[in-house]
Formats: sequence, structure tokens, C-alpha cells
Amino acid sequence: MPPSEPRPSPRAPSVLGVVLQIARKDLLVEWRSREILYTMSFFAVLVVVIFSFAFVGEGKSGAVAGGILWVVIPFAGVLGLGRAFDRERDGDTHQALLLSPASRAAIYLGKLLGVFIFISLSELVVVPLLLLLFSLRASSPSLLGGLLLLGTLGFAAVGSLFAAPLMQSRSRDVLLPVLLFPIITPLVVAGAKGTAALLAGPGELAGAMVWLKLMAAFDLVFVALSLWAFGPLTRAE
Amino acid sequence: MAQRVNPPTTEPVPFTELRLREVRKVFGRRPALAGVSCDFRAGELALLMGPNGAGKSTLLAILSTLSRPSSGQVLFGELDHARAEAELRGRIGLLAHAPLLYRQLSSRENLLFFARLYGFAAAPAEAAVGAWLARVGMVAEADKPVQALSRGMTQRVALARALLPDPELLLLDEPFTGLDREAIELLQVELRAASEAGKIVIVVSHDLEAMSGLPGHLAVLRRGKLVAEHREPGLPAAALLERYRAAL
Repeated sequence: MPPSEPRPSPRAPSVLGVVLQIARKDLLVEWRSREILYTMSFFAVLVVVIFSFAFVGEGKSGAVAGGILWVVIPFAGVLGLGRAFDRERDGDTHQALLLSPASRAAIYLGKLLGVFIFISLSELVVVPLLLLLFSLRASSPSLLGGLLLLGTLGFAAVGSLFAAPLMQSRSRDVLLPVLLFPIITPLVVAGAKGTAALLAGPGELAGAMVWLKLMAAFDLVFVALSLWAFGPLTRAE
Repeated sequence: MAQRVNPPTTEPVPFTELRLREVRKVFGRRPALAGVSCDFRAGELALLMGPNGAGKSTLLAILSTLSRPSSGQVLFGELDHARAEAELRGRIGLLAHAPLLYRQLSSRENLLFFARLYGFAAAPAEAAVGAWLARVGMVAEADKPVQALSRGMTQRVALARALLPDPELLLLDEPFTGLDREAIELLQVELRAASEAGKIVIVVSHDLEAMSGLPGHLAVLRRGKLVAEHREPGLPAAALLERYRAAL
């Protein structure tokens, strides 16, 4: 094509399209390797089993189970988070993503969605196992689902924000949890408290709702902040 | 070209010139580029040479917008690198040391993924990917995971990835490394075609046999500075080597 002619130049595809493409790609890669799900689920199950034996003599209360669950989720999650971003570093594919006309916000949301799905799938294994080993029932399964959903979303939102710029750092495995865990502490505390309230019985539903709202506010703030910060954090230096 | 999901309302005029003015890049206290000024033109294939540590890869990173100069100006036509990063995205093709492909996905899946990321709708993406797989001779291997492919085959897919969105600027970093004769000839054909199609093509390479007769512009970097420039089309390998040695 002669250079002087106007040409149909690449245009930014829709945000939703990019988000779905990136998440779909991450799921497809995971389906082929199954590294993340197996690693996260194995670690989470192991921790839950160890704690269930450790607390035999202490009495297996809802408060203990809630605490265990919200220790397992971020620690297992950080394994999956690190690997999900390591895959972009393996073939320098993050460079190909950044060269594309896709907006930084869409790339961020796509990675977030992938990480969210990985952690949610491992929770499908861990939560029933925890309830079984501790002989507990949630007074409102839907509210427990809501707590897990919001907690996982908040973790994936903050985690994806920090994991992307740390990809090129040699100390990323150390830096990621050091940066991530202090920020998500309110989310983890709210998750543990809310879960404990739900496992204590129907009388504590109102208390669980308060923690749920706190988690929703955390997610709102951090997803908005991350959408704004992801571009500058991944910008070329 | 295949139809896009969001067809542009006002089509941007392609840039026909790439101008570098006193481009510097400093890592810590070490200057990787120490004031490079140079012009690259559409339709003129440029060969960038220099010894190790001359700043070639740093310059390619800046031209690809994956890095920013510490000072100086890079103008893509009228677009300034510093202010128009978003507008430039999607208009630059990069064939780097790494293939920029997902190892667990097949060639077809990789190309389809990037086609969709560049705004191709589903059916045109399929058509464009099929055409590029045929063009780089990868139809038979299209559904094998990239990690099962040889270096030469991976490089063919990487070339298709770089050219798929029809970029205006094509950057290649040592593209002939590890390729067999057939793959080298394929790459030579594609480089010539890209240049004749009016793209700005810049190749970093020390394989002068493979580059023989291709470049119309030879630029030599040494210690972060441009030490020589020759605009002579069709120079054979021996003449390229002679000019390179004279520059150093």
C-alpha cells in the first residue's frame, strides 16, 4: 500500500472484548498446564487439614474456621497470582500486550478476571472441605458466597495491580506478598469476621452484613484506584 | 485488509518518516544512548549495526514505545513519542529476541488472540490468521503448541504475529538467528515486501549474508552514538561489512 494513502489503522478494540479475550486466553493456558489450580488447591487443602488436626483439642468454632479460611485464601491466592503473571514474562508476551491498541484498563481487567476465576475455583474445593472437617454450616450460604466473591475480587484487584509492574523485578516473589498483604489486611479481617458471624448461627446475620458492606466498599475503592493506576505503573520508563 | 470490530471514523494518516533528535537513554549513570539523531523513511529498509553494548536493542525498545528516552525527541511522522504513546500503539510490529507468543497455545490460537486484541472481528480474524499461517508456511503445524515447535518455526509464527495487524513500523532484532535456509529466504521475502509496501523497516542484524542486497540504509552505532550512515540501496554482504568495519 503506498505510504501516502490513508489506511485503516488499528483501533482500540472494545474494553469488554479485550477483557474476555485475555481471561479466555489465561483459562486456556491453565487448562493445558493445570499448574495454578493444582498448586493452589493442594496448598489450600493441606493447610485446612493441618489446622483441623491442630484445633482438635481447642474446639472447632466458627471463629477459628473463619480465620483459617481467610488465611488460606490470600496465601494460596498469591501462588496463583504470581504464576499467572509469570506466564506473561516467560515469552515476554506482556510486551506484545502493551504494544497492542488495547487499553491498559482492559488488560488489567482481563488479568484480574483470570486470577479471580482461578481463586474462586480453588475455593470451591476448600470451603466445603473446611465446613466438613469443622462440622459447621453457614446460616446463609448465599451471604457466605457474597463474602467469598467480594474477598476474592478485592484480592485479585490489588494483586493484579502489583503483580504486573513487578514482573520484571528479580525479587518479585518476595516483593509481591510484602506489598500486597498489608493492603489487603482490612479485607482479610472483614472476611474472617463475616465468615465467623455466619458460622455462629442465624442470630449473627446482621453482623455479617456489616462486614460484607465493608468488603464491597474496599473493592469499589481499590478496583477504581487500580484502573487509574495500572496504566502509569506499567508505562515504559 | 480484514474488517475491524470498530472501524475508524477518521483514518489517521500513516507516518512516512521516523525522526530521532538527540535521543539519550541513561540507566543509572551509564548512558546506553548518547545523543542519537537519525531519520528512517518509509519504503527504505534500514540495517542497524554495532558491536555488543552499542545501544541497538535500547534504541529498538524506544522505537517500539516499550521504553522512553531519557531526553531527546522521537517523531513518528508528526506524532511525538512522548505525547502520543496511545495513538502509536498497534501501529508498530516487533520481532524481538523472545517470540512474544504463549508457549502453551498453538500458533493458530496465538495469532487469533492477538488478532482479536488488535480489533479484528471473529470471522475476519480467522481469515487473516489462516492467510498468514499459509504465508509463513505453518498450516501443517498450526495446531501444535508453540513449545513443541523448533526455533525456526516459532520465528515464522512470531513474524506472522508482528505483521498481522499491518504495522506501519516494523522492528526486528536479530531475526535470522537459528533459522534454516528456507526460513531465511521466507524472512527476506517478507522484509522486502514490507519495505515495498511503504512500511518503515528497521533490522538489527549481524548476519550480513542474510541481509545482502536488502538494506537501502545502513546505520552504525558505537558506544551509544551513531558513528556512520550510508544510504546506498542493494549493497551486497561484502560491501556492508566493508562499510561497517570502516565505521568502527
